[in-house]
Amino acid sequence: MNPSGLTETSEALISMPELCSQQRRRTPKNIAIHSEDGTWTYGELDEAANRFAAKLHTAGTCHGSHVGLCVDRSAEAIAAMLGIMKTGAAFVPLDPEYPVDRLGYMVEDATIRVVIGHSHYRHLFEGNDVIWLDCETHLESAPTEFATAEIAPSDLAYIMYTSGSTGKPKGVQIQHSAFAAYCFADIECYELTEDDRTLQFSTLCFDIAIEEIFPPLLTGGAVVIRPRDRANDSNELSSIIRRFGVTAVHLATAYWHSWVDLMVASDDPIPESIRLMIATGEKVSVEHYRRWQKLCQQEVLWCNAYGPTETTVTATVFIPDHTFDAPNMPIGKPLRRYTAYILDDKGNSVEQGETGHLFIGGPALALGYLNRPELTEAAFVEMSIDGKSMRLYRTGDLARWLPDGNIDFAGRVDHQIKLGSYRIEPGEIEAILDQAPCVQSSLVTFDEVDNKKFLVAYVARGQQTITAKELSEFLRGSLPNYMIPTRYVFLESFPKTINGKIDRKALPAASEGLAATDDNYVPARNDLERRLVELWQIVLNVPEIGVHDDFFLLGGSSLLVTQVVARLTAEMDIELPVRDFFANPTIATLATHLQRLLGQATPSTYDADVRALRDRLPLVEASFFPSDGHNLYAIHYRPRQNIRNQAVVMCHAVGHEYTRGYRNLQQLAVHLCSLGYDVLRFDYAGTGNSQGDCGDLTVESIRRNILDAKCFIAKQSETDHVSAIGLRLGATVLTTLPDLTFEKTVAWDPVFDGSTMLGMFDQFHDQQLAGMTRFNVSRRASEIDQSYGHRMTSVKRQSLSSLHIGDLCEACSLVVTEGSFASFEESQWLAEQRSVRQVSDSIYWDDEQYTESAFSSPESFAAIVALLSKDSV
Amino acid sequence: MEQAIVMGHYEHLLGIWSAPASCNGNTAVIMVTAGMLHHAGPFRLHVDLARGLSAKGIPSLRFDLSGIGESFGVGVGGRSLDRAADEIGQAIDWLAAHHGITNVILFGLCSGADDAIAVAMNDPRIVGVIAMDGCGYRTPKYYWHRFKQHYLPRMLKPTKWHSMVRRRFHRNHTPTSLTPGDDIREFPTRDVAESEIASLIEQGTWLHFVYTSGVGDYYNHSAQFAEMFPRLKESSSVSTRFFPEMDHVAFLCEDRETLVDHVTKEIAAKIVRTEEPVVLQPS
Repeated sequence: MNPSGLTETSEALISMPELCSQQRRRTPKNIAIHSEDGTWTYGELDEAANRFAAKLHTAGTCHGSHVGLCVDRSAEAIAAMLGIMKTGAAFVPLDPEYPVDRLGYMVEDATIRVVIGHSHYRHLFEGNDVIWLDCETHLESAPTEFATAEIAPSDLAYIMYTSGSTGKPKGVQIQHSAFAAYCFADIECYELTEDDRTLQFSTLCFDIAIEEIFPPLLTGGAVVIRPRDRANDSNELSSIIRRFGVTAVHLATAYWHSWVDLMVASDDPIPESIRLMIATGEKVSVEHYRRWQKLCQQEVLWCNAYGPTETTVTATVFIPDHTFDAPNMPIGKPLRRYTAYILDDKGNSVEQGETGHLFIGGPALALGYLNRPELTEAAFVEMSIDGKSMRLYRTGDLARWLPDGNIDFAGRVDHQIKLGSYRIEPGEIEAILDQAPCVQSSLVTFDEVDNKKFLVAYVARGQQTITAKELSEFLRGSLPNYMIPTRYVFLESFPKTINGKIDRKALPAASEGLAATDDNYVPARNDLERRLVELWQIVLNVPEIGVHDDFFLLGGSSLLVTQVVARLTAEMDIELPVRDFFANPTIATLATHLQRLLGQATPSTYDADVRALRDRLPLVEASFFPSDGHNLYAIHYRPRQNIRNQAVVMCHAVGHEYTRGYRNLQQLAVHLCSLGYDVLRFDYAGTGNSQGDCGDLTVESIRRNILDAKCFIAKQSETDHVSAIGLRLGATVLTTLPDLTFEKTVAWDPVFDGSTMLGMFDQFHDQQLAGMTRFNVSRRASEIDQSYGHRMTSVKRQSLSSLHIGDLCEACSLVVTEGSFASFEESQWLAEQRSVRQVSDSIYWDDEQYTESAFSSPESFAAIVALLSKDSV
Repeated sequence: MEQAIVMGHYEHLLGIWSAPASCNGNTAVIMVTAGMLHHAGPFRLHVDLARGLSAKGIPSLRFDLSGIGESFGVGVGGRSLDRAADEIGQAIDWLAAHHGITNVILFGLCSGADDAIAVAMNDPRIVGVIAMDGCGYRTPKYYWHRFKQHYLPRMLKPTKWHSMVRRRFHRNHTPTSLTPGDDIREFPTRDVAESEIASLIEQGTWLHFVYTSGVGDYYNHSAQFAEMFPRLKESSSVSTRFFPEMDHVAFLCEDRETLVDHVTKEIAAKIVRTEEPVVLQPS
């Protein structure tokens, strides 16, 4: 028996949905998923998967279909994977970071007809003939049962795309039998139990994500989803691990190296909850392992894992013991039911210590590459070893056997490049480069400095001129960021060998290459900027960096951010939160930020640096527009780019709730503007900066103001596509407008009825008078009719009291924060609404403690943006 | 007449210019951002004040410091006093360029009062400051008043005992999304404050300090200002007013009316009336 309690052969006989179902029956109340949004039990995960399966079935997905999955790390992403498999279909991860053309190719290659995704990625597939299923919406549908389809072990579970040498990515097909064989080998090797909490840190388009998600779900353990927002902590990963009590962590080697460096630099111990640490993807530095050992205060199972996507995930693992003292970190021994062979050019086994080609065998091998029989035939070969015929995968890696039976990695056979967790076929980049104007031919390779690799493109351009920046931008149209070379070496023509091939040895050094820097290159202007440039050059391996170059456009990643942060701590004794780095992504802005942190004078260049930052924010026009006999204060945020020809009117709350929410609406306006919307914020008559007396405010006047605001923004932005977002009373009034007033309406925490709201305001007011907190003495009610700081009149009271939330039209959606709509009547009403997003932001409108508290509302923002960008609500 | 404006070096500061059809002279009032509050002011205090001033022929400008209210958060950094000084300076530049205003009176509540005094120290265009619940220092008599006005009434009030016990044993866990930010005000030492005010008087700036019982933890009786700053008590350029019933932001409508009336009268009385009414320059 293996640790999961399943029999030795069961994985070969049953599918992943069935295995998950068995686990659900064994541990229905165990927590399957922890995330910042809450937890899901195994039972809840299964219910969510059933919802997806039912929707997919309705959309025509059936056994043998391929379903695209374009999602962020989330609980619903995992449910969607399971739901897809329940229908007998295979899921195909589609990385939203990829260029649209590449995604389009994958959709076409895999004959994807349905894509499940988070709604903010929908626009990536507008050019494809696919049915889009919105991840969030379908989770909100009614619970349903779904009879899992008949699935054979040979059926596909998923297709994972990797880099291909012909200029197009290739889809690795993983069958259920291989998937299950791998999962059980993983569980056994890593000793997973139901007490484990495994961090889901990787993007879902890496096979590491498969390792992070599915083996834990077959043991009764929990998967912890990495939070969406970056932690305000220099060591983001440690902070997440501590926050969620994570026990098992899988990291790409380069990331693990950075994490260790960061912990060493900040003298931060390894989080005490960790019991399993797996580094995978690239060669592990023994020096970093030694540093890890010094940091480690507890018993941790540390593993170096190796495995191409074609072997599902991990094929071999090395677990060093206390006697380990080799100069290189081996890649270990095959997992259970995997086999490994090291063969010479003729297919014969090599002797111990001799270098040969590494082949992997066993039931976890992929079926092959989708629609690429010639590639499949070349990579998956039938070999006869010791008289026994077997199917093996040719890894393209060189290796040798060590005396203790472990395998030592010895490099690549071909020119394939392993960069972080990515395997890159240079030919794929060359194929695109060769299509660029002025390029005669190209060659892509890599250089390595201080154990970090980066891509270098050699470009033959004859007498013509094309810059590194132009080439970089050209490539970005077709390739993901990690495949964009960092340096470009320009040649008139390539040096050739006597055989007519490119003479690689005669090529100039990569250090002669040019970076794709901005046209307005500005060199470092002071010591701090020069220091930062040097630091970035080391981390990015880019020879030339201007002070206005964007770290992320130079090839920087979140992984490299942690390296910068670690070096700042170690070399300059500066503790910089990762979030601050993201807010200051140029040398100029980062230097200024650090100078301010250090209490130094603002540099003379500050002005231009801030202007550059301001230029990324919306254009803004403040004015008054007439409505109902008053001039209303209005701010029109105009987008600078991605202009959608769509406008949004924001309708705020009233009374003290206006004060609580105005900054959120302002920030939401800026955010929407960055997405291309024209946005209008305005104050009703008698509120904020608008003309009029507070006591004259009525529901009717608000309605007229909103309608005039709509006309105003439609005229200002020259569009007929106007939507509305309302908060509290503003939201409620929106629900009472005629159905087609706005293209879409999002009601954020609407007031259920005006009389309850007024009662609450009056109660707060009375508490202020009697409480002796605000006042030194108890104050008596005056002759002036007022409620929590605002003047009231009988007309105003009567009007607000008569307001009740309206029946929601087709185009209206609700966003509801935690604790809102809590009464029986409200929750009954809410349950009947068709489009509701419940988010875990806490605002607590009805809690007297928070009547003057600002609040943060990231989930509400995300939900509002998603609802606005939906084609139909 | 009110005009919505966008100003500042980076077109990042938003506010409202409020002007009567004609005004007395070339003086305007700027309402300095109070804490993190929108330029409309707490419960629209700045709106009411602008209207009150306008009725007396005095123009005013209310705007948000960067990162607060409507203004964009660019150029934020360093000490908040420096930021306030720089951005109020930009506002005065705007007044001068668009309306020929050369003399400015600052009205600041809470941290706005601190900012107003600090800015006035370095900008001769500022001729007057009204500081509401500005800096304060406990004096010996403060403690007697504190006991008599604060602790004693609460000791005699059963509901305060009840709430104290409830707070002691039922600690609430505020969600992080609602955790209030620290509004830390750092007053200069009493000697430094006294010297700063004396220096302002010397350069011809007048100051009027308004205190409420909302800052009862450091100011609680009308004579306290003279006790705090004995050097200043003879000066005709400094005056004070204590509102013992009013809270820190004039929460009640009647308190706001009282406050607006007091402040507008105070400002109107200070503005030199020697000039003939002039029509303001159009923007």
